[in-house]
Amino acid sequence: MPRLFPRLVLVAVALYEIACFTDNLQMLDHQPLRFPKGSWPAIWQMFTLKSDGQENVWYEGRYGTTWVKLPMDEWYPAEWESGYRWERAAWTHERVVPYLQAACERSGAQEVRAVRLAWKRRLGSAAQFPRDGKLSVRGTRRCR
Amino acid sequence: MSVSLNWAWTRRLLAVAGLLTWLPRGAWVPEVYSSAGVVVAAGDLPLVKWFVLAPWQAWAVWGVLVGGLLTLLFRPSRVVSGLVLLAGIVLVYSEGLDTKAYDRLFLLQFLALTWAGDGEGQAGRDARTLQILIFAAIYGSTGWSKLLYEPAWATGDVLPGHLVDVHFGLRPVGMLALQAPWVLTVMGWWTVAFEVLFPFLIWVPVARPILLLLGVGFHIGIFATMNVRTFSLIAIAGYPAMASRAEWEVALRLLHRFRGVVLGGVGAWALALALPVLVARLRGPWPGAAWTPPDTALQAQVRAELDALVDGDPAAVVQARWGGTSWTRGAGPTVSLLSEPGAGADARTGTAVLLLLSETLPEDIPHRVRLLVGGPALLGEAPGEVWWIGPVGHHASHRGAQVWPSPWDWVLPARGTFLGFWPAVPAWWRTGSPVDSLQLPDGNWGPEGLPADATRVTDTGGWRSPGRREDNRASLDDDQVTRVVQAFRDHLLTPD
Repeated sequence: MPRLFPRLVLVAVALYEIACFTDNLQMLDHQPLRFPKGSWPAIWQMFTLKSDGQENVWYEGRYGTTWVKLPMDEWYPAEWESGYRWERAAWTHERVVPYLQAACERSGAQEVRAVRLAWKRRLGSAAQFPRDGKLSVRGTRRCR
Repeated sequence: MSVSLNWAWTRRLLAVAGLLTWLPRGAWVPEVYSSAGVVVAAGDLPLVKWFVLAPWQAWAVWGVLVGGLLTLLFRPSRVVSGLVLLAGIVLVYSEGLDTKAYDRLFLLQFLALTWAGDGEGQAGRDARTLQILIFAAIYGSTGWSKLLYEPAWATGDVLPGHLVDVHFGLRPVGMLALQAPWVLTVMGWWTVAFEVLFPFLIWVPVARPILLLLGVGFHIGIFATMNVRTFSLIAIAGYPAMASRAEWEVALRLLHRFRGVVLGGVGAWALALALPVLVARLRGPWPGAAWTPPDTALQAQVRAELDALVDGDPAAVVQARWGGTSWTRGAGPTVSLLSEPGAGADARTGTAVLLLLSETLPEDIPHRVRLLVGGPALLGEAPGEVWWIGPVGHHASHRGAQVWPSPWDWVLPARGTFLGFWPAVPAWWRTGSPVDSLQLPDGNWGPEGLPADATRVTDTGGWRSPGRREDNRASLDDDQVTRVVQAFRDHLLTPD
C-alpha cells in the first residue's frame, strides 16, 4: 500500500500527458482543444510545422499629421530570442492593446499604432530582406 | 539501486541552466513581471487577471528563484526545489507572453527534482520515472505531431526555413548546413525518428544508454544551429536522472577517461561556431545579423499605405476597402474597428475581417477585450462568417469535430459547460448563454442586435497555430449577418 500512492500519481501523470498530446493533435487539426487551460503546460509545438514567413513589428506615433517610429526597444528592452515582448504582443489584437496604451503614455502622441511587416523567407540565404512584404496594422489607439 | 548520484548531476546541471536563464532576466524584472511595466493578460493561465506583482514583490520572487538555484548548486533540498518551482510558476505565469518551451520544461523538471529530494530511496526512483515520463511526452508529442501533420519533414523542407528565421536562425553553423541540403534532409529524418521512438525505447534497458547519448548529440546539434538560448542545456540537464545508476557511472568513467577528447571536442565546436563569425567580421558586417529596414522608396510606400488605413469615412471604408480600416469613437472608451487583411481569411480573395475592440484599462490591470469579426457578407457577397471572441479565459461551446479520443473526456463535463474554474471571473462571463452576456462597459447591447444562435467562443490567446482563430468561426447566413452589422452601426458609429 505505501507504494500505491506514488504509482497512482505516475499513472495520472501518464494519462495527463496523453490527454495533452491529444489536444496537441486537435490543435494541429484546427479543432478546439478540450481543455486549453489544463493542456497548455504540456502542449509542445517546437518548430513542428513548416514555416515560410518572417515578420517585423514596430510602433508609430502620430504628431499632427506625421507618423514617427517610436523607440520601443529603448523604452521596453525586454527581449527573448523570439524578439521583443512588444513584438510578441502584436501577434493578437487584444494583447497589443496594453502596449498601445503604454506607447500613448510614453510618446505623448495623439495616436499610436502597431504595424506588422510580413514577408516570405528566402531559403539558403542569410539576407532576409522584406522585398515582398505585406503590411498590416495590428492595432491603433487614439491617445487624446 | 540508489539514483542519488544521477539526481545530484541533474540538480547541478539544472541549477547552472537555471542561473544562465534567469540571471539575465534580472535586467527586466520590473518591466516584465511587475506593475511597473506593461501588464498583459496572456497565455492560458494569466495570473495577472487576479493579482499583479508590485516591483518589490517581483524582485523578491526572482530573488527566491535565483537564491534557490545557487543553493541547489551545492546541496540538495526538497524545500528549496519546491520554492524554486513556485517562484518559477509565479513569474512565468505572470509574464505569459514569452513563455518558452524551455521554461515549461524547466518547471516540470523541478517538479521531478522536488519529488526526488536528495535522490535517495524509492522517492529518487519514482522521480526518475516521472522524469522519463516528462521527456517521453515532450519528444513523443512533438515527434508524432511532425510525423502525422507535417509531410515536409520527409522531404527535408522544414529545417531550411527554420534555419533562416530572423529570430531563431541565422547561426553560422546553420548557415553552413544550408549549403548542403541533403544534410538537412538527413537531420530532419533523424529528428523525427529520435522523437517518435524515444517514448518506447527509453524503457528498454539495452537501448536506453544509446538513446540518451544520441539525445545529447541531438540537443548539441540544435544549440549549434539555432538560437534557442538555454533550451539545450535545460534538456541535457535532465538526462543523468533518466539513466540508471550503473549507466551514469559508466558515462562518468568514459567522460573522465576521454576528457581530453571531450574538452578538445568542445573547444573545436566553440571554434567552429566562432570562426565563421570572426572571418565575417573581418570581411564586413554579417549580412543577416540584423533586420534591415526597408529602403527609402519602400518606406514612403509603407507610409502612404498606412496613412490611408486610418483616414476616411468609416462606413465607406468598411464597404469599399478590404484592409486596414480603423476609426475611433470620440468620447468614452476607445472603440477601434480594424480590418486586417489576411487575418484568419484569405486576403487574396479579398475577404475583409472587421474587428471591434472595446476596452477599458483600469489603472494597473489590463482589462480583457471583446472582439467581433464580420466576414465578407458585410459587402453583400457570399454568405459570410461572423464570429466574435469573448474575454480571454471564458469557455464556451466547442465547435468542430472531435478528431482524437482523449483522457480528457473521462474527467471533463459535457461540452459547452463552463467549468467555473476561476472564481475571480465576473459572473456574467461565466454564463453559457452567449448573447445576453455580451456587454460593453458603457452600454448594453443585449440580445436584440444579435442572432440567437450566434456562438460566443474564446480566443485563448497564443499564436501557436493559425488554426486557433479559425476554431472560433461560426457560420451565419446573410440575414443574420446583416442584422449583426446593423446592430453595430446603430450602437457604435457615432460621428466624432
